[in-house]
Amino acid sequence: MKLNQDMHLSEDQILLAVVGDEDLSPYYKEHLSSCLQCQEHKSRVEGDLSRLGRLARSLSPLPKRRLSLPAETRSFWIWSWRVKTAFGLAIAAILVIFVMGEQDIFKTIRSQKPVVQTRDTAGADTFEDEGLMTNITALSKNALPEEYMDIAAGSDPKIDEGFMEFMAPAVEDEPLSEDSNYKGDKPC
Amino acid sequence: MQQSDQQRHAGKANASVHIELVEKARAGNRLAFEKLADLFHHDVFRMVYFRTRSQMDAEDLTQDIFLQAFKSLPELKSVDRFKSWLFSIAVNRVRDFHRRKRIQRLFNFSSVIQKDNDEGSGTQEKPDQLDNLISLDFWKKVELILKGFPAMEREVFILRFMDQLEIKEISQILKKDQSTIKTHLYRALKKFRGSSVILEYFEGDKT
Repeated sequence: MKLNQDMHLSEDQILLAVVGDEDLSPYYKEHLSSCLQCQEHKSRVEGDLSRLGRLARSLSPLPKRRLSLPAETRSFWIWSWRVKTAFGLAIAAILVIFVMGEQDIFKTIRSQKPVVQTRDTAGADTFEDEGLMTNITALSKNALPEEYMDIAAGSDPKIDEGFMEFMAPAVEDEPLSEDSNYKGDKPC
Repeated sequence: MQQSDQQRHAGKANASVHIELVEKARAGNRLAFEKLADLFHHDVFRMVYFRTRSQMDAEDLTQDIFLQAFKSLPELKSVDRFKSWLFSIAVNRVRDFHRRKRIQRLFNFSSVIQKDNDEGSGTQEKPDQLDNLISLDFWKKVELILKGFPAMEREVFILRFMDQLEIKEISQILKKDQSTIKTHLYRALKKFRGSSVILEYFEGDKT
């Protein structure tokens, strides 16, 4: 293919060539390799850019301070890395122990649970009722609390039942004086 | 032709020396890391200065960058990418610095402006005033041009033409594929060429 020497690369194509020759189409690549005008154009652009870089470098100051690296940073880093690893392992071990302990606790609870679970709600109600009835019976016998028992002397063990019977006999033990079959002195 | 062959050979020799130093430094050799730091100190400092325009900030950031590199070196996978890796740390640190500065500006506007002005006036009071004036004029113009670039195009442009890195290195630093980098670079170049400011500057510089 014969190249048209008048068909020079445009500014955009030159810029594309500056970014990277390989991005140009083969036609323009070939033209660039043979056309002095286009080569000059390209080197002018490249020259401007390299001058920019050179100026930027020459017009920037040099560092005044020297770099300082901490003397023990590396060993500290290794040390801290080891400490971190050891700490992680310790945490993991504690977790394992804790989880295993938890499992034992659960096993114990599980072994106890059937006793609780076998008692049905009706049985529990009956149990509660029995307790309640016992309390009521105790209260009906003696409603006084423990601390009032001394004052009331109701439960004085020194006064026995025989003496109380003598002092205040029960009604049904009295003689039936109006009975016709009664033998003995007649009342007036 | 012969000269370019010599340069290429020298470059290869340098690269092998770098790789050797990086391997030693990664294995915990402090001296090897100090040699690496000496080799790249100026490049990293300049790279930071191009983006901060403050000697003090550039020195502080450079120190931070090398400290971080020193700590993270065992994590570096391929030793032949040390330069790109170091520059990627630098790019991230500079990005953090600008982010922090923006936040500071937001909450403490007046004092930051005052500090910036103090730094600017400080350079003018130096003995070599003509050099400082040229420097100020140049950086002002560069800032004027780059201000109009989107962030990615600006970064790629500075990395390529001011830090003078290869497309491959830039793609490793910014973690983008080479064609994306080329696209950004092409767009940035178009804007750069279209800027009258820089054309005037270079025309004036030639005469």
